[in-house]
Amino acid sequence: MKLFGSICLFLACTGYGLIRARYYRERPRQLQQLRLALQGLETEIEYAQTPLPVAFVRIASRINGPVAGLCAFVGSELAESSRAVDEIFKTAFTKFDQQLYLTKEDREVICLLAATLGISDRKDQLKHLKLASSNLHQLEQRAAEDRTRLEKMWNYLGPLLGALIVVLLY
Amino acid sequence: MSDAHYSYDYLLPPAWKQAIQTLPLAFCLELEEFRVRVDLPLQIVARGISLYLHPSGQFKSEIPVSYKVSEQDIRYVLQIATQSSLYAVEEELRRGFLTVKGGHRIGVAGRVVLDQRGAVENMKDIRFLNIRIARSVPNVALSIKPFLFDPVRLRPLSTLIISPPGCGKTTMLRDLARQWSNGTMHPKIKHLNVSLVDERSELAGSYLGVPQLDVGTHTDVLDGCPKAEGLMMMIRSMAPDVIVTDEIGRAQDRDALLEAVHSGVTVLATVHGSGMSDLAKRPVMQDLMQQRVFQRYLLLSRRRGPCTLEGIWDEHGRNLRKVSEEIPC
Repeated sequence: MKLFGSICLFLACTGYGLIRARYYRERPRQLQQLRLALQGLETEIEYAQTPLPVAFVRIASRINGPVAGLCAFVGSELAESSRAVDEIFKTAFTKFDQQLYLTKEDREVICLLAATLGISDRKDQLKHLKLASSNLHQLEQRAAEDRTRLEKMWNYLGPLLGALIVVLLY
Repeated sequence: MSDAHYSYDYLLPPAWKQAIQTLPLAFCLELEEFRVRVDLPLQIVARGISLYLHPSGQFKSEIPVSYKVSEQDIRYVLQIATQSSLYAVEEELRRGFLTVKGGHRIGVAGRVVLDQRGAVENMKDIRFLNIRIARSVPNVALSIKPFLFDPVRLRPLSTLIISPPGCGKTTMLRDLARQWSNGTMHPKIKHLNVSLVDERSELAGSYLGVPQLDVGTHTDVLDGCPKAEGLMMMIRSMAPDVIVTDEIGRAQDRDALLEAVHSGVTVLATVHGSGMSDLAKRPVMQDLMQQRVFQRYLLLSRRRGPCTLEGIWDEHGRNLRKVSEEIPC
């Protein structure tokens, strides 16, 4: 019984460590995908003047992962509902919460941008998109630094922590 | 509200949508425009009658003191009309109107931004909208059919429709285009290839290039193109039998129309005016009349509702049908 408990404890700690490590690994990737999506949106607005619903669906087909799902959802909601863009983004973040490894700060950048999307002329839209892109770039750099520091640490820390508790219990 | 008569209702904020449903159907069928002005009551117009939205959610003829259109209402309409993409309609805003799904047109007014040369660059702070409901009225041209073709050569005759604004010129022109295109004008004249140059997206009500109103099965539409240039483009590229355009009046239009007629194409067009004598005073129109570009002139008025026919003249100025008659519209 004691052995079984110890194994469970060890596995739980290892699992927790892996989840934390995954967060540090996925966040920079998703931030990069978001930045790519914004670049795509910039092109759609600047050269093709594509309306937002179509632009988001097109962008979704060009990128991968949960960010693509987020874009596809925003695109279809924009086409079907009469809600404002920032409201749709908030709903999308709640819907994809489990799959997104983004911090509150990351989401804030996108929500701030969403509040300005589609309500002004092209020049203005591009300025907002560039600003959000550079903000995301900074966050992405910081996330990459975090990854090099913390991903490996959590990979080892989980099992080590589990082993330590088991040893202490014995 | 899925009925085609309410094809504009997706543009309206929910409160207005509900209010429209309380109106009698006959009135809704003839609804012409919604006049939306920020901080002023919402006005709707049909059959020349204006009604205003009251706080009770009903339309009445008295102007209300308390119910006013808010900035949010205008933002809502614009958001729906532009699919949350104001940047995508910059070109249209520069011209002062948007054409939306269903072929309806929204006239916009607000603060204009000029570029360095003093030309209109953009429009910001949109505060006034005029939602004009587009409706094709099939067979409005029914009773004038016999006058509009050459009975010997069985060819359509070039026709100019004259009327003051809001008398159904465009509706009549659209129906003529549709009938020639579908081959329903005369049993012996089969369908003709019609080219439609729609500078203001009013004739075909195109949305993303697709005509939203019925302009016939053999009709090609050049949307948003300046008339003179568009007429030449269509003659060269689409080999039309009939070419249709709206609101002519500039010297370039005259030159393009002359070119069209000399290439053997029948021209259908409209012009603002209140009568033949009025028309003869304008140099451009005078030239067209002297060169016998048009073989038929139709004068419309609103005397007994839109599309009231006031007379038909031939190229020599002879009145073919003096008695005015209301055409079912």
